[in-house]
Amino acid sequence: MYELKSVHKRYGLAKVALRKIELTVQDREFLVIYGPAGAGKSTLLNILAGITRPTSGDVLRNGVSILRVPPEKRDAAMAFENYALYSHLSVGENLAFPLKARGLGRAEVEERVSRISGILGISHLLERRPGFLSGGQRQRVALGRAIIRPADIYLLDEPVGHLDAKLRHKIRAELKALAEDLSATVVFTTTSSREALALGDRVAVLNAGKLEQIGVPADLYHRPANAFVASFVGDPPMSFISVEPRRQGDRVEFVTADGMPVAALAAEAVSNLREEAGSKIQVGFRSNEVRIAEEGDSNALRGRVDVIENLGYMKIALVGIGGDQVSVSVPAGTRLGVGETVAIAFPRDAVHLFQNARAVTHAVPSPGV
Amino acid sequence: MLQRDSSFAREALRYGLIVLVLGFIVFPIAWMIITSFKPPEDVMVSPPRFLFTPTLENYVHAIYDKNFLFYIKNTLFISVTSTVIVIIAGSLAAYSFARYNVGDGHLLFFILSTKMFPAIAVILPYFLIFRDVGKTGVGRFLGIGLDQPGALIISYTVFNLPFAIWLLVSFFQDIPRELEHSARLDGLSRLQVLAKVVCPLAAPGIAVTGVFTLIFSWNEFLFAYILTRKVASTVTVGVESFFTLQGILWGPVAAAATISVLPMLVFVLAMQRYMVRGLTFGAVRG
Amino acid sequence: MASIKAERLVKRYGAVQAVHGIDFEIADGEFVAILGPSGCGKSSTMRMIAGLEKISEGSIYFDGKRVNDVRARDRNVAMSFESYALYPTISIYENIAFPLRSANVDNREIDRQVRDIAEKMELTSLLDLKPKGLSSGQAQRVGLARALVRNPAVFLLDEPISHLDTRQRYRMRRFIKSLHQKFNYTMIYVTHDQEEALALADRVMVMSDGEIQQMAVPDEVYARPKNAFVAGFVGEPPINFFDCGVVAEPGGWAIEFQGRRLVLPERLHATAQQIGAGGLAAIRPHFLSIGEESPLRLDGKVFITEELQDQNLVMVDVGDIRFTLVAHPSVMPKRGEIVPVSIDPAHLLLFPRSQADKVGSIAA
Repeated sequence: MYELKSVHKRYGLAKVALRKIELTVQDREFLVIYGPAGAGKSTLLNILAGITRPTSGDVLRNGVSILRVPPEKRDAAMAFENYALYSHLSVGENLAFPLKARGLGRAEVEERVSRISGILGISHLLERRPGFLSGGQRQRVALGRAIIRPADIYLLDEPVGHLDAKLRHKIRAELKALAEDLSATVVFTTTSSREALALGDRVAVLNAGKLEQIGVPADLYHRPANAFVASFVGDPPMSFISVEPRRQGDRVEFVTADGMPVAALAAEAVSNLREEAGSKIQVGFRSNEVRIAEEGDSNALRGRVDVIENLGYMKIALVGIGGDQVSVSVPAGTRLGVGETVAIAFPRDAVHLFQNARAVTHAVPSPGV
Repeated sequence: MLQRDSSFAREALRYGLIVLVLGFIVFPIAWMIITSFKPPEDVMVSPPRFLFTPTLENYVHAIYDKNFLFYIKNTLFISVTSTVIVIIAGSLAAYSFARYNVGDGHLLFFILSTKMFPAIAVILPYFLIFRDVGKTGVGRFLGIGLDQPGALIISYTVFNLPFAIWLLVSFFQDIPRELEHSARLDGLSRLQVLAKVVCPLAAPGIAVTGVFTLIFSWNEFLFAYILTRKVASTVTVGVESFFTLQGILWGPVAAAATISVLPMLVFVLAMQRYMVRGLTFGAVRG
Repeated sequence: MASIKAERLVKRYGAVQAVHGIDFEIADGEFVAILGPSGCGKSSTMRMIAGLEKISEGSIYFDGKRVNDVRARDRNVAMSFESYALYPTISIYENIAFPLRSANVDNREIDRQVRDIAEKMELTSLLDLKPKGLSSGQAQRVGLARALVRNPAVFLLDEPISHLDTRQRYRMRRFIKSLHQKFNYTMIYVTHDQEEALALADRVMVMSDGEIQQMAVPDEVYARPKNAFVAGFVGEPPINFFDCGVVAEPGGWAIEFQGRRLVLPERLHATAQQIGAGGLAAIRPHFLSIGEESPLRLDGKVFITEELQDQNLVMVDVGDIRFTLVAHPSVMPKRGEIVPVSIDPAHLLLFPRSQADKVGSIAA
């Protein structure tokens, strides 16, 4: 088990990479660090690896501080975002490097190299130098070099980010299965929501050096702590409508600036909605929680279709309502034109509610739970 | 990019230009080699004679009468020793500059700035220093007095080191830090990382630096002329000694020059593969 | 604004041919995505349109006028690169004005055009600032404004959003799409990302090995791919392929797979007849299901289940073939579990077995 205790990292005087991070990596868990570029994901991995020292705070392994343990004594294996392949060695030698460094026998080295290169589909490249490989091939070698040896913790820095969609899909499944088989502890960074949700036993959302939320994927998806997590987790991202609360007996109704009702929730569900003048209240929707209204649907909001994105298996209509835009998933065959006026049906009592970007309630019955 | 459909005239112009440039570079060398095989009476005639009976007379004169191989031996010893020192000291210095940014760039600038003095500005103090140091016990033991190889080795090292460091820093900087990090995570110590990862990767750059240093030392004239007389003289000084009171012995000069060019030529050709890799270093990063 | 037409377009680099004589037409104001893996010839094609590469053979026409010998800067083509390199020493205003100044447009006209585009791109308040300190989104908008200020005939985009995170991708994608809707430029977007291509373009031109595999509207490319390459390259998660036997049935055709038989819908009869004995069948993950009744039901062992919350991806090994299927979030079989997998014949695709190797060559 690894623990980051109030880990702070500053580069120079002004640039803060990590802000007081409290994070635990459990044994045998697959932890995904998910955040935009520049969020501090790599810095966090480097601190776990011992490459970077935190400015303040402590890093513990099984309760003992390892701040003073150099990387070569930490038993961490890492795949670097920029591959970090040895250009003077062949692919096979690159893969064998960590094994030889640990003094493994020739036969065992060969066996492992051929197994890993088989899984990653690079068996035919073993004789080549990294300089002659495509980006996707290099990335697989880098990943292979990290997972080829047993390690206490595997630190994988965007290890599939440069693969094409098909390969990414395949290798991400192999990786997850391999981690399960080996009961490995893995910390994996990514900028893709799908990858984070697909892989993580838990997902930590990092933004501008700050840990926004950590939890199991279902938590992040259905009960995001704030508007950033809500808009960052999920593909397509959650969309928001600005509303004002209006008390009606034991219910609170939320209406748009033009007075159109969006949602109505029981008063106790929104008991922690603070009475603050000028506070910004938003209702959030996942694109599959709303739909184009049919004839006879009460409670539908009218809007104009601004953009239609075709994803093949479905379409996403971006519908402008007031000053906001709402993503709506529509089936592939639907005929819908840009500029068309449509009505959108909202789940009246099943919404995400945010006040000043902080989550107030998630009155959504989580499907599948 | 080579355009397949470019016209014949353009191709002709291209090759014409190449031949012209090559002519400027190759002709003097060819002329030197031709002259070295000419009998004395044909050397200075005008118009030049291109048909003559080749002779080894000039080589015999240079090697036996002037003992030119002695200068070659001296030069080889001095320039190789100096180059080895430059490479070892320069690599260590450059690595620390590249990785730890010692002195925030100011130190590196200072080191490079010593290159801005013309050699002629420091030659007098050098002369005086080596004259006096050479008389001390340590100076005699290490051979760093006037007309001794140590003096030239030190001078060349001091003169080449800044340039070598500056060149090597960029080669080391080009090696991604993550390569070293990765090797350390695999369990190698810092020294092992240097030996197994950094050095092999920097090898082309080190080779390029070595070649430049060696060529500079080999061709250097001013220091060698001022600081040596007989015992430690190098090839450039040796060639100069053919400029006698009786006149310039052009034939033997050409022969001696040809002999002194040969080792460098062979060396550079042998190193060509590494040099090309070194000069295009950034392009093949893993 | 211009329409574009290419005729038997060929690009050769020395002895290597990158583009093998392709024909296409792009209408005035149309948004076309050129989609393909690296090395498929998409970038060469775009660079020939831009005039950055010589055309080896064939012709390109803008509005019916042959432009082979027109220099890049006279074609009035705007191009945006992945990195929006702005000049750091001059203001945003001057950055946007730069292409006009180098074209010797008079000052008053420059001012008018810069302010016009700045307003459309919501940059007016930033005009006096230097690029330093802009957010990446603002910098991208400035870069686009600079590309668009000359009112180009054609606007070319080369993978400008391939490395962004999920949220930014959506943002950027919607911005580009709205740009097209607002200005109606003829736009060509080069990408290896099928999702970007489908989401953005009016029509998608799928390229591979220097040839156009299919050029059609996104729905067509997705649902009725012309060959196995297109089927495999388009779609996320990727389509499932499996070798099958093709047999004649009384009154129709069927495929055989692992000892089971599935009667083909009528639309595939002609294909089946052409193919003969051995075929390559393909089915999208969305049209496979666990447990439901179907004429072709296979037992498979669950390799892994990925819970994406809005849907689950289940990978199931049937024999030596790994199928991916999209399931409802409540369907989450455990690793190693044996589950029945059903194929919806209505969405089955069938290709000749000879195309199997094209599918394998997709890997980067």
